[in-house]
Amino acid sequence: MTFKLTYATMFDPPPELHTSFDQALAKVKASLGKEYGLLIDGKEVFTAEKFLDHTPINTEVVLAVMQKGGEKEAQDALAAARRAFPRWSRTPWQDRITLVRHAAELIDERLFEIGAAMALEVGKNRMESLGDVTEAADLLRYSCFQMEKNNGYVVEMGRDPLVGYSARNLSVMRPYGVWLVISPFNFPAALSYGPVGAALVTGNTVVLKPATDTPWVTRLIADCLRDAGLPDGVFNFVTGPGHTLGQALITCADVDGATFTGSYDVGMGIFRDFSQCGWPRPIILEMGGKNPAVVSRHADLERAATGIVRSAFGLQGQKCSACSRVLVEAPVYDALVSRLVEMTDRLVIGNPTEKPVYLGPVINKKAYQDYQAYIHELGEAGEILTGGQVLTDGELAKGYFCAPTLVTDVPFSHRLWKYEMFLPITMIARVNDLDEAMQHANGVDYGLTAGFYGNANEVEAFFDQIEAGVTYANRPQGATTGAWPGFQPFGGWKSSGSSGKNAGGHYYLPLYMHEQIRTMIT
Amino acid sequence: MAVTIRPLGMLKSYIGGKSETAVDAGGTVRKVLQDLGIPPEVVALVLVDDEQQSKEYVLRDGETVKLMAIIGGGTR
Repeated sequence: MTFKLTYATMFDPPPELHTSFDQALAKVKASLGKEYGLLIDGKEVFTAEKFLDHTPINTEVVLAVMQKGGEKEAQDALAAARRAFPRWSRTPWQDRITLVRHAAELIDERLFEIGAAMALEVGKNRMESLGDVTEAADLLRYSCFQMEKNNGYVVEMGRDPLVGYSARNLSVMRPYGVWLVISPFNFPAALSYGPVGAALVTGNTVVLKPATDTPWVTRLIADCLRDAGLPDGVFNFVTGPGHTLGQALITCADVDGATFTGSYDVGMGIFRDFSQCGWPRPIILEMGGKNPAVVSRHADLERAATGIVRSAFGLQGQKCSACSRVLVEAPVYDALVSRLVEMTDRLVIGNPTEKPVYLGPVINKKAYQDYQAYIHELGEAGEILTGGQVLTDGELAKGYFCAPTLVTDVPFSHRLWKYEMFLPITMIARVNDLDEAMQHANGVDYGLTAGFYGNANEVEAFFDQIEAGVTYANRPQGATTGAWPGFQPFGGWKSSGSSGKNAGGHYYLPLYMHEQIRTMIT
Repeated sequence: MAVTIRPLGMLKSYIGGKSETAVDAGGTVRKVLQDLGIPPEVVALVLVDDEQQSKEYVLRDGETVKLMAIIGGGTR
């Protein structure tokens, strides 16, 4: 069986989907440049300073005018969340999930408009944009489903053998209080509203700060939560720079727990700040990856190439799960590399709102400059097989377009074998055997996702040995990417994550609650 | 009574962008999907009255079926 690298590998949309997307895109484009406030205590709040949100497709286009929140807005949002906590935490969980499910329905209803905004703001292709928005709704629903399945996490424990008394013991999971969510640019829907949903259904109140590059689409989804009827102050949305607003939000006195998704450096900074608090507070960190695909001499090479190219270059390599390293057994190295180059060269790059386009631009000027610097460095250390240049023909000159790049023959001692570039650059190496491959696969600080292509016995050994939170074997839909809620709960080991429990899985919601044992003697 | 079918997210585009549609009871989920023109292989999750069921589940009067697409979230 052969697999084509098209959306149809996972989802074959009917023509109506593209018609709906095109109609929504036209509608969204007709109202660009609108100003959006912060949402604090149920009110729209405007600040003196603003910032312009541009599209990476064409930096001359302003998508929205956003508020430049600072210390005051951070304090106001945290205070609103604090005031709302007693009532929200005592609202029966069944009522909380009704509201959150309603928010998910509103996201569904507005899917195409939010998806079109996502494509413009993040530079994601249309199917990945729609997928991210859909995932946000799915993650809200999944948290509701888990709360229901676990009956609100109230568990009857054993009865003490106390002579002359009757003892009843209950384990009750209760919310911490005010929960801070700081989300990244690459999945502004799923990675904002997955944690927000988990925090809300478990009874916490929330302050959400999106990435500076993606405030608009995050705000459009915030509107769904507001319109679903969440009480004032239960969910607050603030925008502004990380070094001012973000830093002001990391306060021991006002925050009871936090979820951060983003880079290792920023995440570890927050982790250190939180460790200075008077008592330990929960912090869920989802950080980067340096995700390997290991290809055995027994692999189905067509399947491996399809999965690797999809994972290497989906969202321009800017997924934490992107396949940035490929380790290939020597006997199949030449054949696989040739197929990878062939498939990469066929990828369509351009305006990601257009139907045939697979790769859009990278997120901002810094990423664009980083790409050029890494390419220079890798070109000196090894051989660039394809790509290796920014694209500036015609309309592409106005955006941050980078060619998908495959590099080989870079010595394993090179720093970029271990450093997350977060760009459409994938490094390939020949290994003598699978033992050597696994040594390199695990020889990095990260441990988020990993992929393997080989026979059944080899797969078992791979699962046993690999140090990563999400692992795939023989998957054409993505070597290291393509998780979805309820199926592949998402989280990392080592430098990739702090909790050891994956989002969208069985063990995720309890991270947002602390346990209280209630012993009653009658 | 009939069975209410509610495709979520992008799956709505298979029923003309509507939020829901009604079908007769007695058939399997798979048969209903085929009749509605939704390829069964793109449906990742079937929830009948919010309980996960297989595509071979036989639908009964009054039930509500939610359908989630395989792409729904399959992007990370």
